Amino acid sequence: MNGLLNVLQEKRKALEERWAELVLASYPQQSVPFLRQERDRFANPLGSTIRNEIAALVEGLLAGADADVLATHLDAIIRVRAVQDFTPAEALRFVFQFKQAVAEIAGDDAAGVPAGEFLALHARLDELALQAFGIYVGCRERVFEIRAREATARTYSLLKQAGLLVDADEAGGPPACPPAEGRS
Amino acid sequence: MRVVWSLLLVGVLALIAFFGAQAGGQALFGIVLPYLAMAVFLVGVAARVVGWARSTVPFRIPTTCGQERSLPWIKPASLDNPSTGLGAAARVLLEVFTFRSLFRNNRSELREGGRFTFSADKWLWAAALAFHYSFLVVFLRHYRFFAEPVPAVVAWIQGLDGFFQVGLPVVYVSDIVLVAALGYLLWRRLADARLRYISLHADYFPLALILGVALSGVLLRYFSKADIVAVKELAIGLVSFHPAVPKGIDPLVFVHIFLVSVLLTYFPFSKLVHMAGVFLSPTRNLANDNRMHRHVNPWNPPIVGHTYAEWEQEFHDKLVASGIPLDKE
Amino acid sequence: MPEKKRDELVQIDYTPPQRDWMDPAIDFAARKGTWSYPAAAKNLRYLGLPNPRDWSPTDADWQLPENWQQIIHDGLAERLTKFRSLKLFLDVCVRCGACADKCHFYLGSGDPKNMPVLRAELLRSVYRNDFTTAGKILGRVAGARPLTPAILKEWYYYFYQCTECRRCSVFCPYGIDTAEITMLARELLNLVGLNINWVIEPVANCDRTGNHLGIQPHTFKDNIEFLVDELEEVTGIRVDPSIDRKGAELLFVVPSADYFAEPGIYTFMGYLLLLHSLGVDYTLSAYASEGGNFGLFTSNEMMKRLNYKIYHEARRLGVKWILGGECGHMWRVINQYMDTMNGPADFLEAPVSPITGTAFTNAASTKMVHICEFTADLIKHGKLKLDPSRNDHLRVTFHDSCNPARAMGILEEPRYILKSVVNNFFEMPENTIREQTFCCGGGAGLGNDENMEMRLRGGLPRANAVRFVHEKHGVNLLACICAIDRAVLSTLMEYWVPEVGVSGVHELVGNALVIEGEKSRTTDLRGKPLAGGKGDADA
Repeated sequence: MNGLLNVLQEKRKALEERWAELVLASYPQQSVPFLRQERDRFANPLGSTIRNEIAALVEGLLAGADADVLATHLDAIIRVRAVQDFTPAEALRFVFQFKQAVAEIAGDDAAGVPAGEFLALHARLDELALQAFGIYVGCRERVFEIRAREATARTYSLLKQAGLLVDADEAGGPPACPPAEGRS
Repeated sequence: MRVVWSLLLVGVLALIAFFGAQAGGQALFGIVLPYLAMAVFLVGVAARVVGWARSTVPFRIPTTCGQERSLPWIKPASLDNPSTGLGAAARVLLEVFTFRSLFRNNRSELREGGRFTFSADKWLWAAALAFHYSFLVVFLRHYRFFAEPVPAVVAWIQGLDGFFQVGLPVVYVSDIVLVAALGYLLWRRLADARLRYISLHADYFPLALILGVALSGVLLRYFSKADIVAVKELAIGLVSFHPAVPKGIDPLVFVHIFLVSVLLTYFPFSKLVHMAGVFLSPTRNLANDNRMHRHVNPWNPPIVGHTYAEWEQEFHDKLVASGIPLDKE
Repeated sequence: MPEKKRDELVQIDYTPPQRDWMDPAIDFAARKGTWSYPAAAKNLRYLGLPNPRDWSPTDADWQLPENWQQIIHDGLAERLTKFRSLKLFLDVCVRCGACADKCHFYLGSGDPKNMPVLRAELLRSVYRNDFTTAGKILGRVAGARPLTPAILKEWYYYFYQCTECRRCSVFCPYGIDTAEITMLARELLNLVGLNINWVIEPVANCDRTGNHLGIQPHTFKDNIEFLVDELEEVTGIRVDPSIDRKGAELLFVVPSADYFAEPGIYTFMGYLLLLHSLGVDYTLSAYASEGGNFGLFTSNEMMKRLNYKIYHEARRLGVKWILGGECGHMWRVINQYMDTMNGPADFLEAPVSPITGTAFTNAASTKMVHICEFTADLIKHGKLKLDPSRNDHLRVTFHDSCNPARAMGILEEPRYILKSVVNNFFEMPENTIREQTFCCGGGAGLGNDENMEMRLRGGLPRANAVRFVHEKHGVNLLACICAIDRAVLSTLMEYWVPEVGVSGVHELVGNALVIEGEKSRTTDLRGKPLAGGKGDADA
């Protein structure tokens, strides 16, 4: 039904590679060849994550996968980038770089493709970007939740044993009277 | 590009020797500088080793790369986590002769796409090993210039090295391997962005210099019509302390000798001292036997922590209140 | 349309600028989450450490002493003669790059200055400038840099971004150990008052109260009694650990997180249950109530000062030998430093297991035995009745903690124990365990919350391997023998693999241990129901 998608499907490998290359280019130049070349996923978790998940995203996008399938792959990439040395814009730029990859890879083959098809693809990408925004915010929130939890955990035990905290009744519902034993 | 400077520098050094020798500097390049270089090398390396040896080893800090010796039914890794001096010595020797740590980059079988590729790190190990061994063989082969009659061992090495009997004069395997390994090590520094980032002049210069030594040697052996007898006369004169420069020595010989002299002089001031240093590395040459035998720190500072008595005094009331037994009631 | 777009887009280059590593510029304000807060002045004053003041790395002026360059130069000169390791490691590196991709912080961030070789070059370049002939004459050409405030700031950033895990040292052909470089660089930084509070506060606390958390003796006792109560609720067994009891056979020293913070407390319950079930004659100490030693992350002098308490207390209590709990850097100190620093421990006896009679000959001089060595020996001799099915709700993998793996080599004991107490055990990939294990990202004092982004980056390689066994084998528990790991990995998992929890090895021992007189167990030590309604059926 879709000429553009057929063109891209034919060049899927190249498209995956180009997009991954664009994402990896955001890392310090000295490290890019390593991130790109080392194929052992345990020796190179960062590079492998980006390459594998970008490939899965391309596959999903071209096959019209559900939003939640795409979200899994987006999450894997964003989870990493959300804690690296990037501003929010830099962390998420990779989503939009798909356009650049498509333009470069499709090239002349897409010359006859009606503009409507590009618009459709871009609309899909816009949705993806909004999804990415949600995931990014979720990751950042998680970081701060974790920080807060660590700070609480550090004092919780002491407060608890000092009798300064009262457990809600484990059976549920408010206790008739405060727990008799002061936990100390 | 740092590498260009190093190559240029070695080129200039070669030219200096080439023209200097022809302008009457034969004694300088053939006698004075080699003696000087040898002296600097010997004294310099000795000074470095003594310098390290004078620094103390306060703690026993081997990097353990395997199971410790503990319970009798658990097999210890006697090389990677030696519990005896002998084991530690074996660990160092294996490191020196086989570059074991470099070889350690083992890969999991789970590769993307199930493809197996010879990893870049193994290439480093292979090239480093090839370079060092071929250099050693070339070095040993040179004894034939310094001894008359040529010792049987040297002749044997030479025979083995020229085993393939290709070309005339016979091409030595070590020459090819040496130049190829040097080329790879140099190329690697340039091709890998990370290595290019960390590489200093001090990394390119020794490679360029040794390449210069090797190529001048190759030229002498396979291409120039150097008078071997005269060269040997010069060499034997040097080692017997009756130095004289015979007539008819190719200026290229002086280039070769001069570059070797530069290498010897440079050696003690550079990273090349790793040759001696590897034997002294405290993370490799010590046994992990600290809990069995006490290691003594010669400067163990007389530090006493917060003593029990002080502590008990500070928390006396709280100790009493909670019923923890005290030394002083 | 596509072609036009390509031309426009190609013009934009997002590649980060490349600069020579010798020109440092760290913008602390812009790099949030990647550095730790400096030590509070009160802690430095208590410890008598130099230059106490209130400051922040984001300040332009770090309020260094007037002659800070001289102080560092002299400090380096002194350490070059005191530590052969330092002098040699600064001299012999050939920059072969074998270590480059071995650092978890490099793998998680891609920051080339997190390559071990470059981390060391930060110090090495200054060493060249001040102490080598070539550096003095040729300067920058010889890779030498005079120490400037910018370089000092860079030291602060990167030497408090190394967890001293020693993984790079495994792969170095000369055994160059970045942990050693970092430890000595931190000693230098401490000379001018550049330290982090997450290290210095525990040090001050430990010196004063006996443990990193600053728990005073009465609270120590209360806390342990609280755990004893909890344990009774689960097992019906009332254990009775003594505190500061003279004449006990063993002194038992554990990291303070084990009796204070989740999930370490469950490991502690496991220890107590084990020792109680065998009737081991042991005592805890409220004075030597810390096995860990953040002095290791400060200076060798501070390490000695804190470690002093263990032998001092063992002598006072008149015990025969010392048993140590599950802790990582604690065991680096015990295995590689304690006897040298505060020995000889000739007032103790060579350790022998009171249950099996096994002589721990490998600890004949230090007289301190790892609880995993102790327990593995018990299991081997059939002294424990174990029901591994009580851990059937768990699918377990084992994380080798850096220090026990690379500064001791205790690899098989915990695995032997785990395989005896759980039915579902799975190893992570070979290049992520044993001597090649990946750090949790929070060791060496970096496990603080302001450094969270850096911790999560550094933990990526470890988490990535955990995720793999989680997906492949359904692993839901990461066991380890390190208190810092138990805290830091919990956080790491929460972010990267939330389905996986973290525990100590002895927590699982405690679950599986069948004790005479106990009630039928319906839950594990955490109060979670056992698998397959087993508990319900028994109840």
